[in-house]
Amino acid sequence: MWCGPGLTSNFLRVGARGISGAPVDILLKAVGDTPIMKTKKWAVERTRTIQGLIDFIKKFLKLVASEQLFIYVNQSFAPSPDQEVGTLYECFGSDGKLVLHYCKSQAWG
Amino acid sequence: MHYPIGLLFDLLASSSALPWNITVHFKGFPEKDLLHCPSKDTIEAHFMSCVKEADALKHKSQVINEMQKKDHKQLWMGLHNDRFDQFWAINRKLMEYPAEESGFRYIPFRIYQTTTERPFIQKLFRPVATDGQLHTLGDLLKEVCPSAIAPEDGERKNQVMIHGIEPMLETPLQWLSEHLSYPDNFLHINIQRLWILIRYKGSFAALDYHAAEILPAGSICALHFVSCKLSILNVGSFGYAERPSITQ
Repeated sequence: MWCGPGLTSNFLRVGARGISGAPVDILLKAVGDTPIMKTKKWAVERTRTIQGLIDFIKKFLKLVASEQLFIYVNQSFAPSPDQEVGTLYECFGSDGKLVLHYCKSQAWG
Repeated sequence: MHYPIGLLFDLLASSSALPWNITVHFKGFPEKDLLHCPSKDTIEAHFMSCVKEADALKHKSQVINEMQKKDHKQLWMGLHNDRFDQFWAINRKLMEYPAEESGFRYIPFRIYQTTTERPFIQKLFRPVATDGQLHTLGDLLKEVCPSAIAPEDGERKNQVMIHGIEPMLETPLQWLSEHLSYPDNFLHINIQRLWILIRYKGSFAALDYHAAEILPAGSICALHFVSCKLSILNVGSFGYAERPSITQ
Protein backbone atom coordinates (compact mmCIF):
# COMPACT_ATOMS: atom_id res chain seq x y z
CA MET A 1 0.00 0.00 0.00
CA TRP A 2 1.40 3.40 -0.91
CA CYS A 3 0.38 6.99 -1.34
CA GLY A 4 1.12 8.94 -4.48
CA PRO A 5 3.92 11.50 -4.37
CA GLY A 6 1.74 14.60 -4.12
CA LEU A 7 -0.36 13.33 -1.28
CA THR A 8 1.89 12.76 1.67
CA SER A 9 5.32 14.00 0.66
CA ASN A 10 6.52 10.67 -0.70
CA PHE A 11 5.61 8.80 2.42
CA LEU A 12 5.47 5.08 1.95
CA ARG A 13 2.99 3.68 4.37
CA VAL A 14 3.56 0.41 6.09
CA GLY A 15 0.87 -2.15 6.76
CA ALA A 16 -0.34 -3.32 10.13
CA ARG A 17 2.97 -3.27 11.96
CA GLY A 18 2.65 0.31 13.11
CA ILE A 19 5.18 3.01 13.65
CA SER A 20 8.37 2.57 15.64
CA GLY A 21 10.48 5.68 15.38
CA ALA A 22 10.51 8.32 12.69
CA PRO A 23 10.56 7.22 9.06
CA VAL A 24 13.93 7.21 7.33
CA ASP A 25 14.92 8.82 4.03
CA ILE A 26 16.00 6.56 1.22
CA LEU A 27 17.31 7.42 -2.23
CA LEU A 28 16.45 4.99 -5.01
CA LYS A 29 18.81 4.78 -7.99
CA ALA A 30 18.28 2.68 -11.09
CA VAL A 31 21.09 0.55 -12.48
CA GLY A 32 21.65 -0.33 -16.15
CA ASP A 33 18.55 -0.41 -18.32
CA THR A 34 16.13 -0.58 -15.39
CA PRO A 35 13.61 2.28 -15.67
CA ILE A 36 14.27 5.25 -13.41
CA MET A 37 11.72 6.56 -10.93
CA LYS A 38 10.85 10.25 -11.27
CA THR A 39 10.67 10.54 -7.51
CA LYS A 40 13.93 9.27 -6.10
CA LYS A 41 13.72 10.30 -2.48
CA TRP A 42 11.23 8.56 -0.21
CA ALA A 43 10.45 8.53 3.46
CA VAL A 44 10.02 4.93 4.55
CA GLU A 45 8.85 3.30 7.75
CA ARG A 46 11.72 1.68 9.61
CA THR A 47 9.87 -1.62 9.87
CA ARG A 48 9.26 -1.90 6.14
CA THR A 49 11.14 -4.86 4.72
CA ILE A 50 13.25 -5.02 1.60
CA GLN A 51 10.60 -7.30 0.09
CA GLY A 52 8.00 -4.61 0.81
CA LEU A 53 10.21 -2.09 -0.95
CA ILE A 54 10.75 -4.42 -3.92
CA ASP A 55 6.98 -4.87 -4.25
CA PHE A 56 6.50 -1.11 -4.08
CA ILE A 57 9.09 -0.33 -6.78
CA LYS A 58 7.71 -3.06 -9.04
CA LYS A 59 4.25 -1.59 -8.70
CA PHE A 60 5.55 1.94 -9.24
CA LEU A 61 7.41 0.92 -12.40
CA LYS A 62 4.47 -1.21 -13.48
CA LEU A 63 6.61 -4.32 -13.77
CA VAL A 64 4.94 -7.67 -14.16
CA ALA A 65 4.82 -9.69 -10.94
CA SER A 66 7.01 -12.40 -12.47
CA GLU A 67 9.82 -9.95 -13.25
CA GLN A 68 12.67 -9.94 -10.77
CA LEU A 69 13.99 -6.87 -9.03
CA PHE A 70 17.18 -6.74 -7.00
CA ILE A 71 18.07 -4.13 -4.41
CA TYR A 72 21.65 -3.35 -3.44
CA VAL A 73 23.27 -1.51 -0.55
CA ASN A 74 26.62 0.28 -1.06
CA GLN A 75 26.57 -1.02 -4.64
CA SER A 76 27.85 -4.28 -3.24
CA PHE A 77 25.43 -6.60 -1.44
CA ALA A 78 21.79 -7.52 -1.79
CA PRO A 79 20.15 -7.49 1.64
CA SER A 80 17.87 -10.40 2.44
CA PRO A 81 14.19 -9.65 1.58
CA ASP A 82 13.18 -9.92 5.24
CA GLN A 83 15.65 -7.26 6.42
CA GLU A 84 14.11 -4.06 7.72
CA VAL A 85 14.92 -0.75 6.06
CA GLY A 86 15.46 0.89 9.47
CA THR A 87 18.27 -1.54 10.35
CA LEU A 88 20.00 -0.99 7.02
CA TYR A 89 19.64 2.77 7.45
CA GLU A 90 21.32 2.64 10.85
CA CYS A 91 24.21 0.50 9.61
CA PHE A 92 24.74 1.79 6.08
CA GLY A 93 23.06 5.19 5.86
CA SER A 94 25.14 8.34 5.45
CA ASP A 95 24.31 12.05 5.35
CA GLY A 96 20.87 11.29 6.74
CA LYS A 97 19.84 8.93 3.98
CA LEU A 98 20.20 5.37 2.78
CA VAL A 99 21.15 4.98 -0.88
CA LEU A 100 19.70 1.88 -2.52
CA HIS A 101 20.31 0.75 -6.09
CA TYR A 102 17.70 -1.31 -7.85
CA CYS A 103 18.08 -3.44 -10.91
CA LYS A 104 16.13 -5.93 -12.98
CA SER A 105 19.10 -8.26 -13.20
CA GLN A 106 21.84 -9.16 -10.75
CA ALA A 107 24.17 -6.16 -10.85
CA TRP A 108 26.73 -7.01 -8.21
CA GLY A 109 27.54 -10.72 -7.70
CA MET B 1 14.16 -16.12 6.77
CA HIS B 2 17.27 -18.11 6.34
CA TYR B 3 18.97 -18.64 9.62
CA PRO B 4 22.03 -20.83 10.05
CA ILE B 5 21.00 -24.21 11.41
CA GLY B 6 23.06 -23.76 14.58
CA LEU B 7 21.09 -20.60 15.32
CA LEU B 8 17.81 -22.38 14.68
CA PHE B 9 18.86 -25.02 17.18
CA ASP B 10 19.68 -22.35 19.78
CA LEU B 11 16.39 -20.57 19.11
CA LEU B 12 14.05 -23.49 18.97
CA ALA B 13 15.54 -26.58 20.48
CA SER B 14 18.41 -25.70 22.78
CA SER B 15 17.31 -28.15 25.44
CA SER B 16 16.71 -31.09 23.12
CA ALA B 17 19.06 -34.02 23.00
CA LEU B 18 21.63 -34.28 20.24
CA PRO B 19 21.64 -35.33 17.46
CA TRP B 20 18.71 -33.07 16.68
CA ASN B 21 15.82 -34.87 15.03
CA ILE B 22 14.25 -32.73 12.35
CA THR B 23 11.23 -33.29 10.16
CA VAL B 24 11.54 -32.36 6.51
CA HIS B 25 8.35 -31.43 4.65
CA PHE B 26 8.05 -31.79 0.90
CA LYS B 27 4.64 -30.16 0.56
CA GLY B 28 2.96 -26.93 1.67
CA PHE B 29 5.99 -24.62 1.60
CA PRO B 30 5.38 -21.76 4.08
CA GLU B 31 5.87 -18.94 1.56
CA LYS B 32 5.02 -16.31 4.14
CA ASP B 33 7.65 -17.34 6.65
CA LEU B 34 10.48 -18.61 4.49
CA LEU B 35 12.13 -17.36 1.35
CA HIS B 36 11.74 -19.78 -1.47
CA CYS B 37 15.12 -20.59 -2.97
CA PRO B 38 14.45 -21.92 -6.44
CA SER B 39 18.02 -23.10 -6.99
CA LYS B 40 21.35 -23.75 -5.36
CA ASP B 41 22.61 -20.55 -7.00
CA THR B 42 20.08 -18.50 -5.02
CA ILE B 43 21.40 -19.96 -1.78
CA GLU B 44 24.96 -19.22 -2.85
CA ALA B 45 24.00 -15.63 -3.75
CA HIS B 46 22.26 -15.22 -0.38
CA PHE B 47 25.29 -16.55 1.48
CA MET B 48 27.70 -14.32 -0.45
CA SER B 49 25.51 -11.30 0.19
CA CYS B 50 25.70 -11.97 3.94
CA VAL B 51 29.49 -12.25 3.76
CA LYS B 52 29.67 -9.01 1.77
CA GLU B 53 27.43 -7.22 4.24
CA ALA B 54 29.64 -8.42 7.08
CA ASP B 55 32.76 -7.21 5.30
CA ALA B 56 31.14 -3.84 4.62
CA LEU B 57 30.94 -3.50 8.40
CA LYS B 58 34.37 -5.00 9.16
CA HIS B 59 36.55 -3.48 6.44
CA LYS B 60 34.35 -1.13 4.38
CA SER B 61 34.16 -4.03 1.88
CA GLN B 62 37.87 -3.73 1.11
CA VAL B 63 38.82 -7.34 1.80
CA ILE B 64 35.94 -8.96 -0.06
CA ASN B 65 36.38 -6.60 -3.03
CA GLU B 66 40.08 -7.35 -3.31
CA MET B 67 39.34 -11.06 -3.58
CA GLN B 68 38.99 -12.73 -6.92
CA LYS B 69 35.90 -14.50 -8.16
CA LYS B 70 37.62 -17.83 -7.57
CA ASP B 71 38.22 -16.94 -3.91
CA HIS B 72 34.48 -16.28 -3.47
CA LYS B 73 33.81 -19.59 -5.14
CA GLN B 74 36.24 -21.36 -2.85
CA LEU B 75 34.56 -19.86 0.20
CA TRP B 76 31.19 -21.17 -0.94
CA MET B 77 32.44 -24.55 -2.13
CA GLY B 78 34.36 -25.05 1.10
CA LEU B 79 31.19 -24.48 3.09
CA HIS B 80 29.06 -26.45 0.69
CA ASN B 81 31.32 -29.52 0.76
CA ASP B 82 32.23 -29.32 4.45
CA ARG B 83 35.86 -28.65 3.56
CA PHE B 84 37.03 -26.77 6.60
CA ASP B 85 40.55 -26.02 5.31
CA GLN B 86 39.32 -24.87 1.93
CA PHE B 87 36.82 -22.52 3.56
CA TRP B 88 39.25 -21.13 6.13
CA ALA B 89 42.04 -20.51 3.61
CA ILE B 90 39.83 -17.67 2.33
CA ASN B 91 37.82 -16.86 5.45
CA ARG B 92 41.07 -16.17 7.31
CA LYS B 93 41.56 -13.04 5.19
CA LEU B 94 38.11 -11.79 6.22
CA MET B 95 39.18 -12.14 9.85
CA GLU B 96 42.26 -9.96 9.54
CA TYR B 97 42.54 -6.31 10.48
CA PRO B 98 45.26 -3.66 10.09
CA ALA B 99 48.13 -4.04 12.57
CA GLU B 100 47.68 -0.47 13.81
CA GLU B 101 44.05 -1.17 14.79
CA SER B 102 42.82 -3.35 17.66
CA GLY B 103 40.03 -4.91 15.66
CA PHE B 104 37.46 -4.54 12.90
CA ARG B 105 35.75 -1.25 12.09
CA TYR B 106 32.41 -2.56 13.30
CA ILE B 107 31.42 -5.99 14.59
CA PRO B 108 28.87 -7.77 12.38
CA PHE B 109 26.32 -9.16 14.82
CA ARG B 110 22.65 -9.99 14.98
CA ILE B 111 20.74 -10.43 18.22
CA TYR B 112 17.64 -12.60 18.26
CA GLN B 113 15.06 -12.60 21.01
CA THR B 114 12.29 -15.13 21.16
CA THR B 115 10.06 -12.65 22.98
CA THR B 116 9.86 -9.96 20.31
CA GLU B 117 8.43 -10.04 16.84
CA ARG B 118 11.27 -7.97 15.43
CA PRO B 119 13.43 -10.22 13.25
CA PHE B 120 16.71 -9.22 14.90
CA ILE B 121 18.73 -6.30 16.25
CA GLN B 122 21.66 -5.14 14.14
CA LYS B 123 23.48 -1.89 14.82
CA LEU B 124 26.88 -0.30 14.40
CA PHE B 125 29.12 -1.29 17.28
CA ARG B 126 32.88 -0.90 17.47
CA PRO B 127 35.11 -3.53 19.07
CA VAL B 128 37.15 -0.89 20.88
CA ALA B 129 35.90 1.91 23.12
CA THR B 130 37.12 5.50 22.65
CA ASP B 131 39.49 5.07 25.60
CA GLY B 132 41.14 2.11 23.86
CA GLN B 133 39.51 -0.55 26.07
CA LEU B 134 38.20 -3.62 24.26
CA HIS B 135 34.42 -3.82 24.24
CA THR B 136 32.99 -6.99 25.73
CA LEU B 137 29.87 -9.01 24.95
CA GLY B 138 28.35 -7.46 28.06
CA ASP B 139 29.09 -3.93 26.77
CA LEU B 140 27.32 -4.75 23.51
CA LEU B 141 24.22 -6.11 25.23
CA LYS B 142 24.11 -3.19 27.66
CA GLU B 143 24.16 -0.81 24.71
CA VAL B 144 21.77 -2.42 22.24
CA CYS B 145 19.66 -4.79 24.30
CA PRO B 146 19.77 -3.74 27.99
CA SER B 147 16.79 -5.91 28.94
CA ALA B 148 18.93 -8.99 28.30
CA ILE B 149 21.30 -8.26 31.16
CA ALA B 150 20.42 -8.79 34.79
CA PRO B 151 20.53 -5.72 37.02
CA GLU B 152 23.67 -5.73 39.13
CA ASP B 153 21.95 -6.95 42.25
CA GLY B 154 19.20 -8.86 40.50
CA GLU B 155 18.87 -12.42 39.33
CA ARG B 156 19.64 -13.54 35.83
CA LYS B 157 16.50 -13.96 33.78
CA ASN B 158 17.99 -14.55 30.38
CA GLN B 159 20.47 -16.80 28.77
CA VAL B 160 22.85 -15.43 26.12
CA MET B 161 23.87 -18.11 23.65
CA ILE B 162 26.17 -18.42 20.67
CA HIS B 163 26.64 -21.82 19.06
CA GLY B 164 24.83 -23.50 21.94
CA ILE B 165 27.19 -22.21 24.59
CA GLU B 166 26.97 -19.30 26.99
CA PRO B 167 30.10 -17.19 26.53
CA MET B 168 31.14 -15.11 29.53
CA LEU B 169 29.86 -11.56 29.24
CA GLU B 170 33.43 -10.36 29.89
CA THR B 171 34.64 -11.92 26.63
CA PRO B 172 36.03 -9.30 24.22
CA LEU B 173 33.70 -8.86 21.28
CA GLN B 174 36.53 -8.78 18.76
CA TRP B 175 37.66 -12.23 19.92
CA LEU B 176 34.11 -13.56 19.65
CA SER B 177 33.79 -12.12 16.16
CA GLU B 178 36.97 -13.84 15.03
CA HIS B 179 36.27 -17.19 16.69
CA LEU B 180 32.53 -17.63 17.12
CA SER B 181 31.13 -16.06 13.96
CA TYR B 182 29.08 -18.24 11.66
CA PRO B 183 30.37 -18.90 8.12
CA ASP B 184 28.45 -15.80 6.95
CA ASN B 185 30.85 -13.80 9.18
CA PHE B 186 28.09 -12.63 11.53
CA LEU B 187 27.90 -13.30 15.23
CA HIS B 188 24.40 -14.67 15.72
CA ILE B 189 23.53 -14.09 19.36
CA ASN B 190 20.46 -15.70 20.84
CA ILE B 191 18.81 -14.31 23.95
CA GLN B 192 16.42 -16.65 25.63
CA ARG B 193 14.39 -16.41 28.76
CA LEU B 194 15.06 -18.89 31.51
CA TRP B 195 12.30 -21.24 32.47
CA ILE B 196 11.35 -22.45 35.90
CA LEU B 197 9.93 -25.85 36.59
CA ILE B 198 6.87 -26.01 38.75
CA ARG B 199 5.64 -29.24 40.20
CA TYR B 200 2.05 -29.71 41.24
CA LYS B 201 0.57 -33.07 42.28
CA GLY B 202 3.27 -34.94 40.49
CA SER B 203 3.06 -33.16 37.16
CA PHE B 204 5.41 -30.49 35.89
CA ALA B 205 4.86 -27.18 34.26
CA ALA B 206 7.40 -24.77 32.86
CA LEU B 207 7.07 -21.13 33.64
CA ASP B 208 8.66 -17.99 32.38
CA TYR B 209 10.97 -16.41 34.95
CA HIS B 210 9.16 -13.07 34.93
CA ALA B 211 5.83 -14.74 35.58
CA ALA B 212 7.26 -16.80 38.41
CA GLU B 213 8.29 -13.73 40.33
CA ILE B 214 4.74 -12.58 40.84
CA LEU B 215 3.51 -16.04 41.63
CA PRO B 216 1.95 -16.19 45.11
CA ALA B 217 3.70 -19.09 46.76
CA GLY B 218 1.87 -22.33 47.21
CA SER B 219 -1.71 -21.54 46.36
CA ILE B 220 -4.27 -23.08 44.06
CA CYS B 221 -4.81 -19.76 42.40
CA ALA B 222 -1.14 -19.77 41.57
CA LEU B 223 -1.54 -22.91 39.57
CA HIS B 224 -4.50 -21.46 37.76
CA PHE B 225 -2.30 -18.50 36.89
CA VAL B 226 0.38 -20.85 35.67
CA SER B 227 -1.91 -22.62 33.30
CA CYS B 228 -3.16 -19.32 31.90
CA LYS B 229 0.36 -18.20 31.37
CA LEU B 230 1.31 -21.47 29.75
CA SER B 231 -1.40 -21.19 27.19
CA ILE B 232 -0.04 -17.82 26.14
CA LEU B 233 3.62 -18.63 26.18
CA ASN B 234 5.08 -21.07 23.80
CA VAL B 235 6.78 -23.61 25.99
CA GLY B 236 9.20 -24.90 23.44
CA SER B 237 12.31 -25.50 25.44
CA PHE B 238 10.76 -27.19 28.40
CA GLY B 239 12.77 -28.28 31.33
CA TYR B 240 15.48 -25.77 31.99
CA ALA B 241 15.51 -24.82 35.64
CA GLU B 242 18.17 -22.48 36.87
CA ARG B 243 16.55 -21.50 40.16
CA PRO B 244 15.45 -24.29 42.53
CA SER B 245 12.09 -25.63 41.43
CA ILE B 246 9.03 -24.33 43.17
CA THR B 247 7.25 -27.32 44.60
CA GLN B 248 3.80 -27.50 46.05
